[in-house]
Amino acid sequence: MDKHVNDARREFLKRSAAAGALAALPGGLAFGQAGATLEILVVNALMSGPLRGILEKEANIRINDAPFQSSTDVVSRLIAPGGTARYNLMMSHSIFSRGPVLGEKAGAEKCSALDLKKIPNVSQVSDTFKQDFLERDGKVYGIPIMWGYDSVLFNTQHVPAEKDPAMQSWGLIFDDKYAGRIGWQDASPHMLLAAGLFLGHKAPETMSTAELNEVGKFMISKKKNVRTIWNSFAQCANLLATGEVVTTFGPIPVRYGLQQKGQPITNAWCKEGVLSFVQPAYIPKDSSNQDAAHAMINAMLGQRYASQLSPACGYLSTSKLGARDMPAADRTKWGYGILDGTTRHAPLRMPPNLNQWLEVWTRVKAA
Amino acid sequence: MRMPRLLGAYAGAFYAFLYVPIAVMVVLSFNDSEIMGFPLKGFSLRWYGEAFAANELLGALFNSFAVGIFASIIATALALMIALGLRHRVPFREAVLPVVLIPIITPGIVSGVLLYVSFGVVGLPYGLSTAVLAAHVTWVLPFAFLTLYPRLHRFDRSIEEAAMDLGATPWVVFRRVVLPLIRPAIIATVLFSFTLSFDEFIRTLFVVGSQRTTPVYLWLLIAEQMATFLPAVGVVIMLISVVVAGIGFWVSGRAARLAARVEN
Repeated sequence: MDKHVNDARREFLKRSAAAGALAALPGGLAFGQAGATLEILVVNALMSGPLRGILEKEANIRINDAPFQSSTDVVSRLIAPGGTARYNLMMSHSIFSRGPVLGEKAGAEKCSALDLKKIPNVSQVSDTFKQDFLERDGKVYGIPIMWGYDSVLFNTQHVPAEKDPAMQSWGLIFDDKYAGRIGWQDASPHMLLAAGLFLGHKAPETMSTAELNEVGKFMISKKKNVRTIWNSFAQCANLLATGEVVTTFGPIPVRYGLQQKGQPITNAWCKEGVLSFVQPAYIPKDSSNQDAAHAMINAMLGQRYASQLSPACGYLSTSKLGARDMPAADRTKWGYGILDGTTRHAPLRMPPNLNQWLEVWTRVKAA
Repeated sequence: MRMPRLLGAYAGAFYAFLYVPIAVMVVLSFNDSEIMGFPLKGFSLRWYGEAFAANELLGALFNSFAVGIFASIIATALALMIALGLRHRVPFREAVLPVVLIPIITPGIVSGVLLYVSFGVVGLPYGLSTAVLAAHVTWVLPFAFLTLYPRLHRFDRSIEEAAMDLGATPWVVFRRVVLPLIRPAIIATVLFSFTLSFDEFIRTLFVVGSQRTTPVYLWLLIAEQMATFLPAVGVVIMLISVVVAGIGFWVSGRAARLAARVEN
């Protein structure tokens, strides 16, 4: 009897240990699936809903996506020791990526030159994004895949801007009329760029020190209207959903998430231009599975993924196939009007004197 | 008369500051509303249903349990060896304690960066069984040591000497005398270490690769979306930590009583 109990206990312990070890293995319990496994670091929303399945099927891969923190984090991970072998594919804002990815000179690239024969869908990338390719000496190191924009998010029940394009302006996040119900994002240079656009600077990233200081003064004068300066998307979403703020600087995923929940939240197509950004995909040079990574990039530019991207997460595809068969109303809703020029946008650019910008933003926050 | 009232008010404010946020989270986890906030719209268990329906949460819980179990056992074993070793005259004995405690005094984000860079230099791959496990062991080890060392330090060595006088080898003394007496302390240390590992976030985020532990999963929910089941996930994580820590305290109390009995 004791022997049976002991045997059973040993068997249980053995199995528990095996299960634990199995769980602890990289890749966990995902055995027996077809295709190569790619470790990727991209905005996690790009793998949401049906998107992951589309890519896995079309590229015959299995995708493990790491937790995405920010574009700067992606670039930091790439250039850290061993960083060029950690992931098979990475994506980050083009404005942060170009320098670190390409390095100072030829041969210093942190990523592989892409074999465009393996990415036939590269021909579908809209001309708008030509400047967002990461290129050197005729070789392509990064292809723009996804784009989006930051604008003003507002509650349509409190802010009557939805039906009045003239009201759609960055001014909504400075307006005394909404004092105490305005949210700002704790993000530099974004907030200063938005204020610069509102104050009439067509290319605010090129503002002189004096102009930048004026923008800072303006923001300090309007800070009395601000309910809070939020940090995370969830915080922003909650502030809008609870009605604590009715208008805020805001990113696409927040608008998308709240609309999915039936909240009366939309974004303004600011007449000064929304702040648009682009994310290229690149393959770290020591990536262990370059062919599969090429296949994934190709699938991301393909018709199925590109057309499902906006309905699944709110971001937009750089591929012309993304909006090709989309009804006009949907094209407008998701922001594809930016591509045909019906909606103004100001591409997000990194100011050359970033330290000054950070100083001004710190001053605004501390005021 | 006024002093006790003031103290009472202070204590009330103190406990309110500590526990009201937790109470709010528990209340919101049962709130039948599409938004994470007030007003309350009625009682519902659906957020718990949604949380557990998401495979990601179950996977993250499983990962956290697996790492927590292995990290706590390894850290406790290492801490025990260090504590046992420090009972003897060894070179650099005085330097061992500060060195062991370095992970506690190093800010989490600095530790995360250091682990990230050093693992990159030595080529340790990301993953739960590699980089995350190593990161958790280094984080948990000092706490395990601080829990075990006082138990062994207070240990009456005449009991061991008596056993050796009767012909027991050092291994037999450890296995038959020391281990039974410190077993409750070891169990308490493992449980305490487990809760620390289970809750660890910042170091993990740097080295986790494409997998998720429960705190990393929770952070992603906060960073990316307004997942209405977030309070429910928070309550589940808190319950697990409270239960494990509770068992740890109970076992630890038992160990203290046992030690007192042996000393008497």
